[in-house]
Amino acid sequence: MSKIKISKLPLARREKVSPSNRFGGFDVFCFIILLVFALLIIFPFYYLFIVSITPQEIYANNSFILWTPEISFDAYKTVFTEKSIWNGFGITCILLFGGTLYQMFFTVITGYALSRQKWVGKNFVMNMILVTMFFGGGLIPYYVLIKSLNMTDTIWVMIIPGAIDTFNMLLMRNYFASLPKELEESAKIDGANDIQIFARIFLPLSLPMLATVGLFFAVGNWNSWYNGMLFNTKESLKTLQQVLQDVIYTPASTIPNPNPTRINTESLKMAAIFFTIIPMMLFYPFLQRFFVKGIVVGAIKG
Amino acid sequence: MRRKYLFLLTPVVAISSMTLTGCGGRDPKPDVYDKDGNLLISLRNLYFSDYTETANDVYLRELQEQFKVKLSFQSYQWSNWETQVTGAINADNLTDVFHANIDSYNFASYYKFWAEEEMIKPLPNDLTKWPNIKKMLENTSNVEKLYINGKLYGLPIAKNTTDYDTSFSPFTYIYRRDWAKKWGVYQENDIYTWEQFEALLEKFKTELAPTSRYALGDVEWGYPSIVNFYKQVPHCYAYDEATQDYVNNYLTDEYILGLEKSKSFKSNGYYYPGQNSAVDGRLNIEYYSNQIGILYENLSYSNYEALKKQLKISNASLDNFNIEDATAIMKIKAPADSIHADKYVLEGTDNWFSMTFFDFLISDAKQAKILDIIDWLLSEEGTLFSIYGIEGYDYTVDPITKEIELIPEAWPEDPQTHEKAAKTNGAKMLRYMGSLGYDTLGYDPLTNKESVAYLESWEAEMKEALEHDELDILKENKDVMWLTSNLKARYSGIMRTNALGTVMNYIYGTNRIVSIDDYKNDFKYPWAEVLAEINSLI
Repeated sequence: MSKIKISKLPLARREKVSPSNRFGGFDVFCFIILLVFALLIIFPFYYLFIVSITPQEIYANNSFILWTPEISFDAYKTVFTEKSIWNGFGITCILLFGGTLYQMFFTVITGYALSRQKWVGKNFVMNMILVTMFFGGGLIPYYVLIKSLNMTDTIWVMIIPGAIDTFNMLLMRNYFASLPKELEESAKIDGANDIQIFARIFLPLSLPMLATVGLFFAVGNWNSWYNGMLFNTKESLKTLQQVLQDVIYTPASTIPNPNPTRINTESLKMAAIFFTIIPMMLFYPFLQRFFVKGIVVGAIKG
Repeated sequence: MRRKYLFLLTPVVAISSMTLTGCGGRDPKPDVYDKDGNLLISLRNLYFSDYTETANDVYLRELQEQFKVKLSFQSYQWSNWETQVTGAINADNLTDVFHANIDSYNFASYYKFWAEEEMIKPLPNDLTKWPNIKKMLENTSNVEKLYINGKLYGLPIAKNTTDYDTSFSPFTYIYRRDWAKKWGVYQENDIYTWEQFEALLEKFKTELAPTSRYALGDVEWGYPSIVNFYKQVPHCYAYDEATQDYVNNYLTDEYILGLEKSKSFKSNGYYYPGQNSAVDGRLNIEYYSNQIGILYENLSYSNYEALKKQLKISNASLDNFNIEDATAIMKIKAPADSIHADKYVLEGTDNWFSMTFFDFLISDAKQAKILDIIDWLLSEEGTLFSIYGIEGYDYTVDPITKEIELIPEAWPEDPQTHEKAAKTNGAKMLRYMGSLGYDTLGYDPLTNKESVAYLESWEAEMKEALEHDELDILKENKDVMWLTSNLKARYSGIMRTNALGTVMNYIYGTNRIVSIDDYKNDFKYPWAEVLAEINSLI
């Protein structure tokens, strides 16, 4: 790659590197502080990975390691061939895709309806939804409700009760309310009905907020374990996070170690943790630009 | 104004509707049979999480055919066991048989409450039909405390059905005997006086410090183990002979002496530095990774065997590393300034752990059928079936000597370790409803006989020490342990947890608990109130 001399740059770009804009002492200070923060965030992931690829002989004699002279992916091979991990992955994928779509549908249409002109009972519905942010029925009534709906020991218990998240619904509602009313009025003059206005005008304009809320739901579903823990007793319905919990507490029985002289128990745990965090880590960067924009835009009602 | 009323009314309606959802009648569960006439029984147990391959289990099939039942298994997670049990029981969503952790600290709030509220079904008064269960119950320690209005509401799960007498737990020290020998501080038969123990700690510290390793570590729940050599009782309620009252154990002179000793051990650098923040399992890893020289742990067979196995793997590259010589249980005698001077000290225990319960709504016939199964599994025939399998298929019995011989094809061995491959045997899992199976360790083909023999010899030695008044067992008075009273039932659990937090803060000088006065002042409400209640009732 050829270097471009600064004198050859157009004047406007040269001005940007004038002495007053140079990398100063304060910038160095900020850089160091940010670097330290970045390292603090990155280090646990790095440590996870290093332990997961360290063979037993090396790990056994160094309980804290920063680098391994020998790399072994045996722990990953074991994790990738473990039935319970894939079963949990399958259940979590159903929650991730099915659950997120389901939650998005109800949250978005509710947010839209509550952002529109007055309709009978709007305030009542709004209050009923708001109440759930401040008061809960308690665990046991909730459990009894789930049981009486015959949802225990089914995958539905991890999807259906979470149809509307109040916080996300408020984000959507505020965003829809921030869009100009004139858009709706002009669409009506052109003969569009409410569903067409919603689907063809408001939804395309709400992509940043949809991505943000979608990401919130997706992360929540990916990390979901509580409802499964409480209401499901079948091993086949365990989510990935539940399987991970088992691996961390009782790795020997959850993932049998095929070669204890080679693979250490901690490597198995770390490999399983890595397996569960990688999909979300890969997912985040692609939605990040929507994510920031969505949060900022949704916070202001125009 | 209308809006304000609406806003107030809404939560009232919402909460009422959610609360009323829980109200309703409880109908008894009818017995259900499959098309082949087998009675359907659902079971939930902590240990069933290790048992998922039920479909191809020949032993389970055999057992089900024998008893004309069809069993379905559900498990708890170790990490959420209590939440899962209490959630299911309070919402009336129980399996026919279930497993819960009961001890003197939750006896009133769980067991007694469940019994009185008719959530769990009592055992029949006459147990003569189930002789093995009856025998087990007759030998269960403190079983009389579990009777409410003359009825027993579950089966305490036996830790050991061959030796009921063991009254102490194996919470003790395992150490690197090879290091002690190498560095010249080893004492014959692993018996150490307090001075010898401190000399060993000092030597370990000197030798290990250059490589950032440490002399001592306690399993996370066991810290500070050093206090055990001083205190009167394991947990909250000690007895003061002078006032003849129960007092706060953590404020007794004996406990504080032990606390100061623990603090000095910490400041001397004997302890693993991350002891106060270690996550579950960390100290075990430190021990088998050659990072600490002594570990305080629950040395049950499974824990001891796991530590040995891992330590062996960690040192596989060393020539002449003999695991049987490298690690051993340390037998330490209490210091001269302790009430237990020159004696061994161990924590007292009941000979059972947790209980098997029956849903209140199941029929008498179904409960009897479940008891039939448990009783048979505890019998000699059932035990052989659980441990060895089917005669002629897994093992043979010599007609004259009655010795059992395994059929090699049925017990494949790992070519490297020569250990027998584990089998899927539902009967063994089901036996955990009545016994944890320690009674069968001696002849279970899947156990390490050397480890079993070693632990048994340690136990025998400690029993002998007890007979010769060389062992003190830390045990709360059973009247106070099992006392059910309002405040005690409500606060005992949290008091114990908070007290251990205060102890940890004092030793590490954290959370502004620096001086002994700070420590003493941290024991506030409800200690005085609970103790006053106990003293008024006993």
